Amino acid sequence: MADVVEVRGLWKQFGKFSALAGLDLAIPEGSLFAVVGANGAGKTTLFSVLGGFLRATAGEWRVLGMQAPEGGQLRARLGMLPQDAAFLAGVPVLEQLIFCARLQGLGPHAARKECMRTLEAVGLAEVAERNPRALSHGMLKRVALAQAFIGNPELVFLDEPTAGLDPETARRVRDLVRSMKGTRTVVISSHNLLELQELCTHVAVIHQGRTVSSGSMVDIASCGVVFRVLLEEEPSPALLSALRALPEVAHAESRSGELHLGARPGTQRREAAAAVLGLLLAEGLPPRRFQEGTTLEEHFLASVGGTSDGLGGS
Amino acid sequence: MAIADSEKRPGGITALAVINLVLAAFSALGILTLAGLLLFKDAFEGQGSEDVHVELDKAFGSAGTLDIVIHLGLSIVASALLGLSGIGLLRMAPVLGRWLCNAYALTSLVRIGVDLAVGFPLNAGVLLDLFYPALVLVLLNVTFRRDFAGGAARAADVGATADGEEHLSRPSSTALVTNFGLRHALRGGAAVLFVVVFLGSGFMIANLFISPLESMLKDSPRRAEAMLESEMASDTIGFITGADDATCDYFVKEQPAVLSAILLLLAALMPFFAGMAGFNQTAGEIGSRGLRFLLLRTDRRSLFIGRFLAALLFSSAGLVLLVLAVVSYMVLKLDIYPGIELVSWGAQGFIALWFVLLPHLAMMAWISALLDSALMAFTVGTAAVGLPVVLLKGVASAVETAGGASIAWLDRLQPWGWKFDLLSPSFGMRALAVFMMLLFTAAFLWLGLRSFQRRDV
Repeated sequence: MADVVEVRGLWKQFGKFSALAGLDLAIPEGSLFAVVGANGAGKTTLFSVLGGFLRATAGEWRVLGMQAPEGGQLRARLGMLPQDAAFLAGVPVLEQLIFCARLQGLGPHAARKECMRTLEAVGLAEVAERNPRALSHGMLKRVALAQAFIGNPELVFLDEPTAGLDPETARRVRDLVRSMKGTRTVVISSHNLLELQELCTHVAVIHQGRTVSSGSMVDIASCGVVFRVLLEEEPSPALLSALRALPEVAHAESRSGELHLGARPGTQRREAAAAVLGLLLAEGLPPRRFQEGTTLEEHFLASVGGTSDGLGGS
Repeated sequence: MAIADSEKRPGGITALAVINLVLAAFSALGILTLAGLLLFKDAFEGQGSEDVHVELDKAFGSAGTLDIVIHLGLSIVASALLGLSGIGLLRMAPVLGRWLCNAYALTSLVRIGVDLAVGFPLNAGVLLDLFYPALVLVLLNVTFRRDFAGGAARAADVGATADGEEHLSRPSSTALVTNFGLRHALRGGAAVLFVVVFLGSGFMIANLFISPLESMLKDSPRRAEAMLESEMASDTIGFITGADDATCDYFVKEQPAVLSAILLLLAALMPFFAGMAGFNQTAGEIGSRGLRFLLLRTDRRSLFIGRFLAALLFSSAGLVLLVLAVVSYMVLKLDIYPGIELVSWGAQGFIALWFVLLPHLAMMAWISALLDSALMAFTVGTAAVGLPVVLLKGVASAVETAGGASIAWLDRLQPWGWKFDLLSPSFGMRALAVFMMLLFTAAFLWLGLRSFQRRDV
């Protein structure tokens, strides 16, 4: 699979702060690609540079085969849901979407038809004639989503597409994205890691303006061994310390009474499992359940060296 | 039935509603004053001083009591319609808002026609009376027509473009941005406010010069003509322009002096009007990040130029209306100048004002591209027009007082310094002024485009 987005050594400075600090990324064609990272990691800045809104300080990037394209150069090929972009207050939603479609090269009639299609896809056909001021935050997000899908673009960036949406609409958005699998490339940034794990085929973890890990979701699920152990009683601090002291264990913590353990990179699954089970049995704590595997959240935490809240680690 | 959804109201309709309510209040005061004068007229019938009768003549002309009562009746109806339609527009009600407002405009126009037919005095103030109903008719029945239509009608209207149209060549991005920017400016209210303020101020300036002349012509036409060609008139023009005696004489004696004064004063104020017309070309949407939806689909150059052209088009339309109305009125009403002279000087005046507008709008495009807030762009833009003028005048005055050489040439480093040369008696000077204005425009547009292309949006 060819890469539709290639980024090398991308920097973006805001004064002394580096929002992107030499970021590298490759996004395969046809993938549903998750970009995850803590607040301020650089996800939105990355999207904004690729969309042509922000000027990069340094670095190279290609989108759909074009070297550092302006948004207008890609026209109907690139769609994006930008974060916090507001529609004009006094102009009906449909009129604004039609304007976007016209700029993409559609004629007046085709533009209207296409915009109604995308509004229907996000369940908002009935508000087409309404003023954006009359819409709720969630509705505006859906209108912005409809805008991103105008003209069925080859590549779509969605910056937190389901944030602020009700469960039903969020599911509708997920279904819409899922339906594009294999035919379109969709890049999604979100803090909802469960949703991303369920939806996406690939993932990149960004931390402090750099990509710290990247690969297919299947690879991530099979590497970086993680154990989830349910004991009769809540793990004590002493037990956690003892587990952390094992050479095969990278981290150990208690989450809602469940023991979460990450194996040190390079350690064989069997060795790590034997070491953990051996210590538990030696302590007289036979597990009620012992699960092996990984989650995107754990992968993320392992990648950024964070704690269970996932946002403050360094 | 009212839609009763204030959230759907475009800013332009809100502006109209507020102006309606304010004008209705003023109109009510005017009606009370006129009613009071009518009582005086009856009381002073055949008695009282000459001054009182002169004032009553000014107000009523040759209209009889019945005519005045009819005028008052129509004024009361128009005023009531104006006030009620203001409320209706706020509620976006098709009948109470749009139709009552249309009824007000038509009643006003009928009243003006009746007034003129029965002998009410025709003066420059009538231009102001005519302007607002005409503007309201255009806005409600063209610009905002769809806002009052039902949902299905609106949808049909949006899709009213026939299938066949798809085969036409696609307009350029710049043309699309210009078209949308123009419509959005009217709907958003900024252009409506500009047109109202610009035309209102323009008519007031015209009234300032024309009304006293009309009074004087009525009293003593010969004295009026003599005054128009007097030293005092030259001095007034000299005060406005700072021009030499020969140039002042040209404005006063070779061209219609009153129109010269109006055009020169407008030229002095035009940069500020341009600021009002052009401050929000991009700044507001940079702040709200709304431009991001467009930047995915078009290049920054098209956006920048398209927005500039939209601002230029609607301000040019306002300028055309103003000059046309003033010149038409003078042609129809003032006997002292040949019509052809007024039309020719008016056309030259329009061109001059347009070339004053051009670089200042370009400067506002630059300022708007630099900033993230429309209000800040307006403030900085107004300061950028006014402050250098004041500072340069101050410095030049201080230098000259201290015995230094004149540094008035510093004025020429900004468009402001060339504005009166656009009406100069010398063709060469006019051509140079036009060239300089185009040069300033190109420079400001280049700077603006450069800033807009380099900045984060």
